[in-house]
Amino acid sequence: MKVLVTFTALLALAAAMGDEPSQASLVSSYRTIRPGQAFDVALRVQMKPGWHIYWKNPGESGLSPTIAWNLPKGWTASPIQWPTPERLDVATVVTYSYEKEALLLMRLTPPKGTTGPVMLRAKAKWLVCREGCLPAEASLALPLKIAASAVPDPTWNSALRVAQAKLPKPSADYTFRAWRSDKVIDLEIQPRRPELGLAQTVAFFPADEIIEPSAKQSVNTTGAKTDLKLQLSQYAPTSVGRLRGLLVAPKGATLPTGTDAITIDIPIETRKL
Amino acid sequence: MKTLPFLFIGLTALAAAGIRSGDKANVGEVTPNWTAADSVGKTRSVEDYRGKFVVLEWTNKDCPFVKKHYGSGNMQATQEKAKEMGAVWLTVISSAPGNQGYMAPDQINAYRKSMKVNSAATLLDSDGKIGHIYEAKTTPQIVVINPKGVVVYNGAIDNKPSTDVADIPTSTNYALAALKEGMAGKAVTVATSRPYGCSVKY
Repeated sequence: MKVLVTFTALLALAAAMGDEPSQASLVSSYRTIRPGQAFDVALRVQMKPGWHIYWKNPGESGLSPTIAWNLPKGWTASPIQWPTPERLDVATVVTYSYEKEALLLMRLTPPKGTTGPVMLRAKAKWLVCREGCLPAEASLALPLKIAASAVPDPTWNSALRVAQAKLPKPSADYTFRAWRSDKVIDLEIQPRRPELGLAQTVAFFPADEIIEPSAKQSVNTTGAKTDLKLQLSQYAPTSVGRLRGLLVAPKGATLPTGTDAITIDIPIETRKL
Repeated sequence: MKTLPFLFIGLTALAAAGIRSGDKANVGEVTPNWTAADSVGKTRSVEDYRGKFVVLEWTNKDCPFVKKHYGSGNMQATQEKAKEMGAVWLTVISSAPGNQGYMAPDQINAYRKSMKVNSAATLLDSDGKIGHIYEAKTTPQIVVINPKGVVVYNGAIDNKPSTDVADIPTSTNYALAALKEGMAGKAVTVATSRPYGCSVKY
């Protein structure tokens, strides 16, 4: 009976998503836009249970999704604004991933004199993995009207606003400093106020390959100050200039700032002896 | 005082041999020895190849990144080039039995034939022993060892992380670059790069 139920559930999913483990679409915060007025769109990737796609730093395997826009003349698109990913640890290989559904936001700016309607086109490529991986791509289109007053998309406007608000951002509540000593980067976090002290469960997600994703990060707190020891990756270039990444709360929790992650982008200093 | 010259010689010898860190081999270190059976039942040891450049290539036939390089013939052409240059190319399968990419010896032999694999051998590393020595993370991943046994490259096959065959003509092949520089007696410019691909299915 249980098998039958599972099978029926699978059939329902298969009917909704076809045979592919993932599918992509473009969604917009507005159906009708105003000339010259920037607005948010997202590459929405829906995945079947168990499958995942990757963050801008995929980690120790995988590949980040890409999007190539084919926009009308005068239009511009921002790079993808990456939401906070989850750390996936599969047989000691650590990746930064999204499961179920990812909304990869971008801000589009139409030119002032634009007239419509328009059809925005983009080609998205992504890798979707479970135990194995499948490359996927889609040619996507987003039809929009243009008028003097904008009309929100009833389905997506609020969802994209929520997604935008949840994006990791820098925080003025902390000062960050990083020092390198041989193969270790010391990330020192000093809150502006003692009550902003971090729990020992915080983690650093590196935005590039200089930090080893699978290496243990030891977290030490002294008073309100927190110190993370990050292992340099064996694939890091000899000279590392900046430490870029996210300070992340454990899954389901938030940092004292009320957000799930803070963006860090600081120079790496050499410790004076 | 008398022991000083002896100690000095000892240290020099150690420096010349590179430094070993347990059972792992980072770039710049001498590889520990290992022994594995290849798909035709021959035993191969890395120490058998002192005096030659050795290329280790991690593979998993079902991984789309591996398919990019084998489907296009790029991996086979790279293997052929390395062979012409005098290097020994060993393909390694570290997938555990039951995991993606695992093949029994006869399946490997059939695959080598049908894909026209040009490496000297495909090694069965089902227990992941060799993979863990070099901390192989992905398929494909490339390790280059010089004639003295020192690891001179560990990382990606090339500089274009993608599953797109169209990227191959404009990619820099790091395996060949390491061999070229290493054989010319130069330091390898790109000695490490982050490998891209599917995770190794240990």
